[in-house]
Amino acid sequence: MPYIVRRSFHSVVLLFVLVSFVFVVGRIIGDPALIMLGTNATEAALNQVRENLGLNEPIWRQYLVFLVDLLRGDFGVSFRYGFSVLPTELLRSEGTPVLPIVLERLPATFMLAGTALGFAFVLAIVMGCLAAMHPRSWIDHLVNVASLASVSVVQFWLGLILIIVLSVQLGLLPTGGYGSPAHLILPALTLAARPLGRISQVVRSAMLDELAKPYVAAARAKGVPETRVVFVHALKNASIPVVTITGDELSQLLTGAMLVETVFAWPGIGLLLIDSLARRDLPMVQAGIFVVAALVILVNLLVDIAYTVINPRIRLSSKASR
Amino acid sequence: MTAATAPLLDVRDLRVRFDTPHGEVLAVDGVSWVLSAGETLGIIGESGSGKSVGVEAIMGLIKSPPGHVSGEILFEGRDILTISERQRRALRGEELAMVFQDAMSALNPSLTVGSQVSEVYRLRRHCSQQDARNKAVELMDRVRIPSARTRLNNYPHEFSGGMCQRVMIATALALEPRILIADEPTTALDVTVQRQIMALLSDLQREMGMALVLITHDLGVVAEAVDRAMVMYAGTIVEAGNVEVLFDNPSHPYTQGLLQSMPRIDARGDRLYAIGGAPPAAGRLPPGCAFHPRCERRVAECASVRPVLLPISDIQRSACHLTGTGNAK
Repeated sequence: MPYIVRRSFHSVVLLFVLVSFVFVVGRIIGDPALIMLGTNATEAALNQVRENLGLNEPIWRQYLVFLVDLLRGDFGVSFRYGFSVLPTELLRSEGTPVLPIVLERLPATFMLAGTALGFAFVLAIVMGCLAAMHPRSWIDHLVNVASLASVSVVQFWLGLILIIVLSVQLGLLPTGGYGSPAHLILPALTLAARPLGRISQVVRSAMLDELAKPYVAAARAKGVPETRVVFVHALKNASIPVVTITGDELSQLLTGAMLVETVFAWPGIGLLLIDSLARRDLPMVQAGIFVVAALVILVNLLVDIAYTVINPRIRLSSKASR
Repeated sequence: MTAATAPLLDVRDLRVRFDTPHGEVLAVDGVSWVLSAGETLGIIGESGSGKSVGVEAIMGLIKSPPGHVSGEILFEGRDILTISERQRRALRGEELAMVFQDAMSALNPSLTVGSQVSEVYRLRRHCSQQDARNKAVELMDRVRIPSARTRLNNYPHEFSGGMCQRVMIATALALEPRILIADEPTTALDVTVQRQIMALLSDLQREMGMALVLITHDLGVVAEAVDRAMVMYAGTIVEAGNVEVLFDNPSHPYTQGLLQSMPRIDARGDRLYAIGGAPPAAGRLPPGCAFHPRCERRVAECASVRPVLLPISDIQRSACHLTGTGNAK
């Protein structure tokens, strides 16, 4: 079986486990009807909601219904969206479905995470390579200190400091919100700090390893220019750990975006999740977690596929497993 | 030394030292030799004798810091230690090329063999992809890699050790250099493949009229392939001369020891001779002759006065207090 097919099958299994987990957690944290209506609700209203949502059915039946609905892309309707009064009379066919609301928020999160990671990745490659080319020089020390600082800094604190200095005191950029490239700069910078530090450290150590290998001396000996030796010969071989850490950081970014989106009022999936938690909108939280987790699984799958493209030896390993 | 032809490469008092956390280490300590066009020179020595570091300095592969190269390296009369890094790089591949010890690890594992063979040709001659591929096939044919065209897109791990070494040689020949330095080209290979690679190198040298510098600790290889040879010990040349003289009439006790410790097919049953002790660590050389603690024939002078490499005949030089004219004050 081709590697990619096998690997995709693993992802589907993982997604199934995850969905089940979301279902169980949704039932563990309390009676959904009570969560929805609040503690002041009458017993009659609670019963009405339980009836409408099918919560009186046996748990295995609820689980099956949940799975079947999922296959149809139905994550249920929001407890909060689209009601002017408390949704006591809620019917399953009414209300606003949650999935479109979650998906609507994705582009904003993608834009933020993509910008942050793109910026962090390019700068980290340059920083890591420069440090590895001149080990123990001032440039190496500078990169070390900068990467350590940017890994260690607490995201929401960095976000607040950036707002205070750049927005409030200097008035250069908006404090938060969405719409123009200027709105993107601060949240993207805040979010980029951690991956920048971690990727540049991995690039540095991987490049130090690679630059010490005989093929690098051989490339120099045959007259390849130094920039090409570093950025083509060595970087290509250093890219396996770099891709791993970048994929890892991208997963982290999707979740890290939650804090940053809250600090900067960036209308992405993270802000929606935090808001929905505060509003006790269980279906929305379920759908949000599902979408984020599915993205993380997808990213990991893409990283694994990227390995086979980068490293010819992995591509063949399934054939020649001697 | 064939005085008739002007030397292509003239190395004068080459020194390579490294700054290490434990102090300064002198890896090559004042080595001088010449190489004429088309000639084959052997450099013999144990691991750590400075033979590889010396040629790396010639190739410009010593990173500074921590390395420091001094002396003169005259290529066609021009000192290449004083030219810019850019000019230096232009020499590499074009005039000087090098084949490394372990070809498997000296080839980039994630680039195809074809692209590595033709890489410098493509970069320097600014040719099309197709021309580069044709050049790669031509070079791989030249080093007798069977069905070269179909193997262009293979990766080094799909090749055997001997085939990797052929690829490495093809890579070095891409720009038709005038000097090929082979640093233990056969060490990582098994014996039958060693012979094939040596035969290939000799043939290529003849076809292309290259000078060949062969670094090895395998005296058998030297005896067959080389015109002149130098024996290095602890960063210095202890003996140099025509290979027949060196083998038939070695003058330095170290050379004698090396030759005696070669297994001989006609001396079955005898215990193999070995030079006692171990070579000194670079940076902690004994005073006087570096070999004297291991030398069976040492005299008092050896521990205090360092012998100089002096001619003992017109085809042999030796650095030893015992060899008549080789006596230094």
